[in-house]
Amino acid sequence: MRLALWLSIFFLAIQASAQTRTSGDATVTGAMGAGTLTPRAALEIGLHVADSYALKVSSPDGSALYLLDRSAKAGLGVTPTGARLDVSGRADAGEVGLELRAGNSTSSLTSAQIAFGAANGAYRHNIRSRATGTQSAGNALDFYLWTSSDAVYSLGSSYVMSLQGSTTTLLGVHVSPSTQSVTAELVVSSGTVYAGGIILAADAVGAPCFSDIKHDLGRLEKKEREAAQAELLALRPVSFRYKGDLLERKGFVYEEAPASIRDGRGAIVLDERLLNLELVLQAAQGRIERLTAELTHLERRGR
Amino acid sequence: MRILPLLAILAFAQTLHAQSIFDSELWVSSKTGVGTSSPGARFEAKGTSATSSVFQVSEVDLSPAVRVGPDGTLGLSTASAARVTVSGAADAGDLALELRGGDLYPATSNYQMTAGYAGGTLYRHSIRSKHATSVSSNSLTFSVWNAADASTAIGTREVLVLLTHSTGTTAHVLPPAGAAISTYTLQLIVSNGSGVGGGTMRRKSEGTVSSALIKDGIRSLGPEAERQAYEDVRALRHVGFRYKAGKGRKQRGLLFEEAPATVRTPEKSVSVDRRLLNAELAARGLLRELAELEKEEEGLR
Repeated sequence: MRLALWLSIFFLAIQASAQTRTSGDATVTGAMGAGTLTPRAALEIGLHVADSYALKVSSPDGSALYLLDRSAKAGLGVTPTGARLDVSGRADAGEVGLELRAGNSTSSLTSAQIAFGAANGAYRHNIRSRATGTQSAGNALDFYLWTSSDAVYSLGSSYVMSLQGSTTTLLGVHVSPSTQSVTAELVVSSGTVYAGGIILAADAVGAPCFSDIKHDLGRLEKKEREAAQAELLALRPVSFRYKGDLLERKGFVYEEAPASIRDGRGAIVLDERLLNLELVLQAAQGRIERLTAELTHLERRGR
Repeated sequence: MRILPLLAILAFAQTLHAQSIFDSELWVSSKTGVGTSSPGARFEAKGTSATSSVFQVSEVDLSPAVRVGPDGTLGLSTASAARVTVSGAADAGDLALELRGGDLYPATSNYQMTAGYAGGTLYRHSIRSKHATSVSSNSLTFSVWNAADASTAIGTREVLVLLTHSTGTTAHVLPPAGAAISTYTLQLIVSNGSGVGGGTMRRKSEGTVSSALIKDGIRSLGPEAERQAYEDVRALRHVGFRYKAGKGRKQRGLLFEEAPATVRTPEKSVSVDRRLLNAELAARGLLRELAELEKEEEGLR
């Protein structure tokens, strides 16, 4: 009898070592190691060689809600494929894939919502959001790039572009890079030609012109009008095709164009061409007025 | 004395079936199943219909640091409103999401973020980052999938590149290399919310790339081109109008249907560049005529 009792106790102990089942709640007030006998966190899950998944959180029907696989790739509602975090969902059904709630207020740009780093976490480009609930202006998504003027592990601070609301235009894309001198803040390329792209806009060109944002003002008078006239006459218009493109165009060759309309970096500036043309027309108007007066004088004298 | 171990074991077994409390550490060297007797991972937590959180890692104050809800949403420091929701406060220096998989320039082997369609990997748009230790060549590239890509491939059409140069930064609207202009008739459209292409751009100046190095078939335009341009400018029928979409301000301009062919573009817009070129050519012709008249007038004196 005593032997039977001891055998049953021994058998129960062996069962506990092989598989332990708890039908009620289990509470661990110390650390818990799953797959490890030396947990280094409140709960540590240690992978074994044969494991496909470290962590599975499943629904009542057993389908995976969250999976963390052996290569530390996580899937939410999906078996993780190539990405570190693979999120399933259907926007058509009203689902949002990723929501980031750490945005800045309008008056602050302390941190970012998303940082894009290299493998060691360095050189971080980033997207920052600014929000205000009281007005349109100040709400924005700002894009920053890292450059070597930033500390290696800091967030990049070169401001490149912003999608933003404003009190006057409601919403807009604001290409607003660093204040340093650059070749161009916005380059529009075609598939074959750098900066050879086409822009469609109703009111394409508007230059900020208030006098209070300008200094070193000087009126362009007769001398400049005559220079513009000489430059217009010196233009050598050509037809051409951009290399690699079939569309025939008309225009000028940078190397032949007068200095006043060249930007110094291979482009001919539309605004300068228009300004030259306006100066020429003003000069022509003066000459026409003088001719008209002279003809009137000659007519009177002829009478 | 012998009865004590038995009582202890019985008491232990009872705790196991009702509520097990481990006052010290618990080590499980095999698999752990919570809510399931057949764990499909090293650690599996399976919810029930009554579960409000299937898996949670709590902070010291018991607020959720990581929480998986029964609807399959993941919340980091918050309950989930989206599939993944991350809380934080940038004003306090928090960064919500950090992706460290960027390419080191000039490598372009993979992407940092893709956006697929309806729970699958179809039609994926992407954001790729490139990093360089120099001032130049740091970039964020936004690509869009289109029908020329395999349905499960990541889109290869680069649309926008934010790029650093040795002297600053540039936003580069950039269709994929090698694509013909006839394929991509417009590269940048600026709309105003009520009409496609009805927007306004503001900038200091605008240039046209013009070096002979990037051109083929260069041919001089002679007096005939000037005469044609003069006729085209004379034939322009300027109008005042408002765009139908919205209630914009009154504007001045041209009607595409009435504009001469020399200023019309294949994508049915009137080109400012071509209008300016025509005006320049016409003005040159006028100046020459004016000079001849002045010479004639000189002779009459």
